[in-house]
Amino acid sequence: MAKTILIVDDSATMLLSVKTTLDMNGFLVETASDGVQALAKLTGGLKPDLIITDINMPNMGGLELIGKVRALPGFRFTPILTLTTEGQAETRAEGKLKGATGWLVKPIAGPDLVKVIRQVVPGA
Amino acid sequence: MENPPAIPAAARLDLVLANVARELSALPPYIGVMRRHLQGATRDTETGVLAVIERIHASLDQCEAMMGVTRQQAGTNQEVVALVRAEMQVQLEALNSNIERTLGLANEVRDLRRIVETINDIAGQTHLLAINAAVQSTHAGQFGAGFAVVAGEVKTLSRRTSGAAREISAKIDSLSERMTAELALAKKALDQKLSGTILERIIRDVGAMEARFDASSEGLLKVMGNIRQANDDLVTQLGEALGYIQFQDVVRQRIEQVEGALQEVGEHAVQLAGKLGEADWDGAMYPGLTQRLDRHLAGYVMASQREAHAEAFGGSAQGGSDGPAIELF
Repeated sequence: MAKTILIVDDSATMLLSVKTTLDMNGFLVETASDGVQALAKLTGGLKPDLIITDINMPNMGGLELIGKVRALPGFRFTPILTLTTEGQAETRAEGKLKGATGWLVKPIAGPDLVKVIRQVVPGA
Repeated sequence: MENPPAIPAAARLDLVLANVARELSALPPYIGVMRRHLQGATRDTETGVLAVIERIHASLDQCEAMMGVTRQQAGTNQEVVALVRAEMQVQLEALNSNIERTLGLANEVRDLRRIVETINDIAGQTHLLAINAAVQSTHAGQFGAGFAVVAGEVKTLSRRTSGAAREISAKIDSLSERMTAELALAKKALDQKLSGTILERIIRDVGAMEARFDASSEGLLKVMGNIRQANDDLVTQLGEALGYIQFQDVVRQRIEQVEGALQEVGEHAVQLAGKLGEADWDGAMYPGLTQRLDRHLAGYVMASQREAHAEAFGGSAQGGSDGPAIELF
């Protein structure tokens, strides 16, 4: 059964390029343009096998989103990857503390992204 | 000709300050125009990149659809051949079954001959019995006269029964032979049809068609395999290309940072213009442009931004480059 992935990014280019990459590789993709929209989808019943989120977004950023997702029932062990231009050690450490599973820096090639996804999502 | 009167130094300074203030006040709209150009350029690249991705998506969908049609076509060809072959088989089995049933009937008719032979045997024994009865009636003399008549009738009956049995047996033999002959002819005709007629040609054609379909299906499978391989390669290459396309988001963020900085310069100029009119202003700005620029260092999210900043001052970025592009915790 195809795995579902929620992508959260305020950039239309990022959303479409990552979505296309994942579509091509047989994943089901949901998108949200910020943390608020993503959280609404998750509390509304969406249960993705993986969440990929940007860090700097309007309304609600990625770090805040990760913290809120971890507090939701049923999302304690859902893998969450960040995909961001941010690469500094302090921000990474904060992401790790909030509960991120891994840190990816933009831009990332499709095959590399898929490889990481298969590492963190069982059965993907 | 008289020289114009000299402007007093204080008045000249006021004029200069007023002009400088006006120039500084013109800076925000100037920067506003530049920011709009930057925003337009960002939008244009985003539109172009989105169009490229959409085109990639459409090409992949088309490729997938073509593969689906090819798969379906191969399946349909095989189904058609299988149906024709199955129908031919049903027809042949029905014909053979009819012949077998008729052959069984002929055997049953031939079995009737044994019953007739039994009747013939009984007639023969009855005839012997009648002769014995006639002999015994002769020994009985006058008293056996009536019995001799009965014995004679029995003798006649057994002779007629025997004759009828022979006649029935002959007819059964004849009927059985004719049925066997007819069946042989029917079987021969069927064999001939199978070996040299339209039916045979149809079967042969179906067989050839099947072979061709098998060959073409094999070819199609090979083509599909090649397409699949090419598609996988394409997916890998497009995946890499889509990764490169993400540069647009990186560029957008850098431009947005520059836009913010330009706006800040505009605000700084307006503040400076306002200060020029203040009599007790000492000429210092808080924060000054240098401080404002330093603040940007803390706001950079990319190593490339920090490097560009440091290079502008002839140095190198502190804290080194960012961590690995992929890190799992």
